[in-house]
Amino acid sequence: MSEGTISDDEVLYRRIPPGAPWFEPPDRISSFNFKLRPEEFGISVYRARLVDAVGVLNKPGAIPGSRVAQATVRQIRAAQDNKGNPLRLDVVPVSDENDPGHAEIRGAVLRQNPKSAAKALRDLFRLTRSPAGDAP
Amino acid sequence: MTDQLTMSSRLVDAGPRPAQRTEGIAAEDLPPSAGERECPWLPLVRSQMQAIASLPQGWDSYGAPRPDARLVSAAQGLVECLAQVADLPQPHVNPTRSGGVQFEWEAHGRYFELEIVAERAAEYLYCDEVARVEEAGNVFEGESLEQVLAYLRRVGTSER
Repeated sequence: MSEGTISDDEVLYRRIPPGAPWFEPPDRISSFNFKLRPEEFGISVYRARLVDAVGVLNKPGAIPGSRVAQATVRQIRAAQDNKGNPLRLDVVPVSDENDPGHAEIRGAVLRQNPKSAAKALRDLFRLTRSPAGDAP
Repeated sequence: MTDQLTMSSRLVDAGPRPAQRTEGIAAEDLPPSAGERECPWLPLVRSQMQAIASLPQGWDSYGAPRPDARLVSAAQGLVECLAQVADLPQPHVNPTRSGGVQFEWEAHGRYFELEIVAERAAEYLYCDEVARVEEAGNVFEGESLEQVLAYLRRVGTSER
């Protein structure tokens, strides 16, 4: 496998901030987690083969109480909108020495049809069991 | 005064709910006791909006900015407006990573999302998982909210 590609079999992690500060249920993932800010190129994720869930939660800036959601690269690349149209998303590595395992979900649809893409990604990602073993 | 529910400037910018806000709303949109009986989920949503307004920079753990007070105020005005319509389901309320607020309704395989993206503009997405329907659009200040209400009613019904 070349350095520039990520296998379909890999698992990706995304931190999900706790909704408790604004009284949302802890086990629900909102689509806002998968919408780009203007300055972003992709949705930030971590490759499970390089960073475990505890490591993701210990990254700088992580909010205490955050959860980790996961999906496979294959799922991301095969993602469709609600009408069955392919979203043509990809996952690319963007790691550097200070942030190993970092990758991004990218695709034009994240800008062109962000709500549709965010909803599809929300539906794919599932909360992992917490590092402490609690059910999500 | 218009004959239908609209996303009006006055309502969107109103902030705290006035004692009675029926201007711009058709009588058929309102329950018999509108203006007298408060929507049951509105107090919680108000608390959620206050909490969202207080979030710090980086609240999403990926560097999101603080929620924009103008967008939070607009979102509150919009949801207060919608709450005047009888029997609408309770929304999920979340900040967005760009400083806005979004409301999500989800039931019976249907999903409706309404995101306040500017002081006088909102974007929406409606999905029906069973019928494989996906529709998106915008609503701007002064425009009718009838389409939004139609989607919300669809989410709220189990009928197909």
